[in-house]
Amino acid sequence: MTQASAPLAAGFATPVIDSQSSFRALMRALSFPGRVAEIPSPPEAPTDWPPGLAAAALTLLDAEAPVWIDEAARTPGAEAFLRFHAGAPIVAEPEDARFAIVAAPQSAPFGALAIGTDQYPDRSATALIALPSLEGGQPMRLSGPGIQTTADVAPGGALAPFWAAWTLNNGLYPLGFDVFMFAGAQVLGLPRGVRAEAAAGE
Amino acid sequence: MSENFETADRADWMGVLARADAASLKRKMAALGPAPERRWLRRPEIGAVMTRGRAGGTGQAFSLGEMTVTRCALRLESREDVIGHAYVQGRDVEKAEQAAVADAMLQIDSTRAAVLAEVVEPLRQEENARRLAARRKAGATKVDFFTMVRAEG
Repeated sequence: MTQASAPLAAGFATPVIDSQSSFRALMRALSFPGRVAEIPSPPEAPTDWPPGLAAAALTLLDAEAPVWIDEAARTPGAEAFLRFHAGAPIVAEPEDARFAIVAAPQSAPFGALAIGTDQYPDRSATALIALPSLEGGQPMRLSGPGIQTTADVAPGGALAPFWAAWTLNNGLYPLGFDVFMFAGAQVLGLPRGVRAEAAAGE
Repeated sequence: MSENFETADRADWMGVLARADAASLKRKMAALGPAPERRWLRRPEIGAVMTRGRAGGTGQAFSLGEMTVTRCALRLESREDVIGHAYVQGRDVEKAEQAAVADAMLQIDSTRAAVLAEVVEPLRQEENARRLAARRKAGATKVDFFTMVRAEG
C-alpha cells in the first residue's frame, strides 16, 4: 500500500460557494485586464502553490479539461490534489492540454500551447502562472479590449520570455491562449486580445 | 511509508463499514474513545450509484437499479499522510463520517487491532446475524413445487 508522501491538501471548505466566488473573481480579472482581483476564500493549496492558483484549478478543471503541469509546479501532492479534487486528466504534452499550470515561466513552452482553430477559436489553452508577486517586476503597459486607455502592471518573476511569447500570441488573434497570473490570493487576467509593451517612459 | 495491510483487507473492512447499521457503527466508534481530530478533504455528499449485475453471475451485465450512497474523505491531524474514505449505503452523513474515521484508523498500524476487534468484527457478526434472520424468514415460507405423475390407464 503506497500513499502520496505529502498530505493531500484539503481543497475548498465549502466547494459550491467557494468555487462560485472564485469563478466570479476569475471572470472579473479577465474582463478588466490589468486590474488585480482577489479570490475571496481560497482553499488549502498544495506545497508552494499560491492559494489563488489552487482556487482557479478547483474552479476551472474537471474530468473534461486535460491539464499540463510544468516541472516546477509538480510539487509534492500537486498531482494528487488535481486528481482527487478536480478529477482532471494530467497530460504529458503541453499541446494536448486545455489548461497549463506553470510555476517557472522562464522556461515554459508557451509556443506549444493550443491556440484553437479558425472554426473553434475556443479550443485553446489557458495558462495559469504562479508568480512570487503581482507587482514590483518589469513594468508593462497594457491596452486593448476591457481597458479604456492603458493599464500599467508589473508582475514579478522572470517574465521576459513570457512577454516575448505574448507578443507572438497577440499576432494570432482571434486565435491564441489566455493567461491568469497568481500570487497569494490575487489574480491578474490577460485575455489573448490584450497587447503589452514595456512601459519605458516611467 | 508502508503500513501492514493488503488492499483486499481494506476492501473487506470498507465493505463491512458500508453495510453496517448506522446506529450500531456510531455507538461502537464512540465507545472506542474520543474522536481523533480530522480535516475534511471531501465533505459528505449524497448521491446515487448504478448497481450492475449479471444474471447467474455469468450473463450479460445489466443495470439492477440505483442505490443511494453517501461518500466522504478526510485526513487525521495526527497522521496527515493517511486518507480515510467512505462510501456507505443510505443518506446518513454521520455514518459516512464515522466510517471514514474508522477507515483512516484501520490504515494505521498502531490503531488497527483495536478498531478491528471493537468495531469491524462485531459489525460483521451483526451483519451475518441479520442475513441469517432474513434467510430463516424466507426459508420458513419456502414452497416445494412438484408434479404428480398422472396415472396412465
